Amino acid sequence: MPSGMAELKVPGGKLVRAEVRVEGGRMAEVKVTGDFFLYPEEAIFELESSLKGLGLDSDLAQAIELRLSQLGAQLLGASPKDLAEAIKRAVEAAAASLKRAEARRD
Amino acid sequence: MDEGWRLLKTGAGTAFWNMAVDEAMLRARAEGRVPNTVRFYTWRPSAVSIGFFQSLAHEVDLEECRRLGVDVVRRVTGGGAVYHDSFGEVTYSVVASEADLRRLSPDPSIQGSYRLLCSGIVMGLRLLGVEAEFRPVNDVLVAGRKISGSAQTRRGGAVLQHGTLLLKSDLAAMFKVLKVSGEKLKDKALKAAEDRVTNLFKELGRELSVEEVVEALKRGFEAALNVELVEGALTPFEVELARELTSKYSSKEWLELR
Repeated sequence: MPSGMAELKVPGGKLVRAEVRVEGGRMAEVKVTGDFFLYPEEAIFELESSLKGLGLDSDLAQAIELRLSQLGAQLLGASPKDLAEAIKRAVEAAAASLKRAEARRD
Repeated sequence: MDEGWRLLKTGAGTAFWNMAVDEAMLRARAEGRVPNTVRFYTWRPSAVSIGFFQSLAHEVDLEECRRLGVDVVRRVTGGGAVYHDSFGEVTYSVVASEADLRRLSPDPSIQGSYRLLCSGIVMGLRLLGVEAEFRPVNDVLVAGRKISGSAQTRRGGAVLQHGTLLLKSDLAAMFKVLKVSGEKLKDKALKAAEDRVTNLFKELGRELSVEEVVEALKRGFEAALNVELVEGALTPFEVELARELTSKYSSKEWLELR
């Protein structure tokens, strides 16, 4: 299964790193790591699992913002948009690695 | 002057014990068992702490840590990876009720509480003759260079903020145990860090004892929070809880959480 990773340096200095695994045109697994803050911390696991199954062209920033507000969670040092951008780049990296693998097969 | 807060000087501890004590204090405060508290401590052996959300594999060179006898611990707080040199820094932690911090802070947001608590560091530094300023989200800078970083978590109406103040830095050791994005750039990163980071030795041109720095920080927090810090001890409840939590902090599962 194609997977990809991308890092995003947020203005102000925080790092957001996204790792995704893509399956059948959807996100099968998403992990977001970095030196940002999120209160409460445990919300990261629920946030990540809520992104599973989303299509690759979903409005991620909106999905993240909605889930965080449902969880009563608050990001500091990075925004929902930053997380979304890192995930989007990781999805692109996954697509690129899939293309490379196909090219090698041909 | 507000009512007394507790002052704890717990000296040198392992990474696992140190983090366990901070969490035990937070839980005890949330349950109303202990007063608001400021604690000072150091790390022995030297250790790396990583933020709750950080990827262990991406941040830490575990083999190098093993070789150098440096412990590695995941914090309950977010933020970045820190190299805690046994003799190169002082760590503080503050545990307080959210309501008390809101009352003390002109800005009731989480960011405002960072500013409030970090102003204790800024005032402590001023007492040592160093002009510093808070820079959001969680840093204290001297002339644009970082000298202190902090991280915060909240549980059941209580806040824990802990952070370090650099006395002298062994940046070469730091870069051995921490991974930099793009391994090849380590030399460059070391030079860049020398420009971005400072410490008390660099600023004052003399070596300060941990005791002298702790005394200044104590008075800094007293001024910033308008309280008197009264020296006390961990309660038996906190010690017992910290012992239990030590096994969590030293476990593989917790370290490899992400």
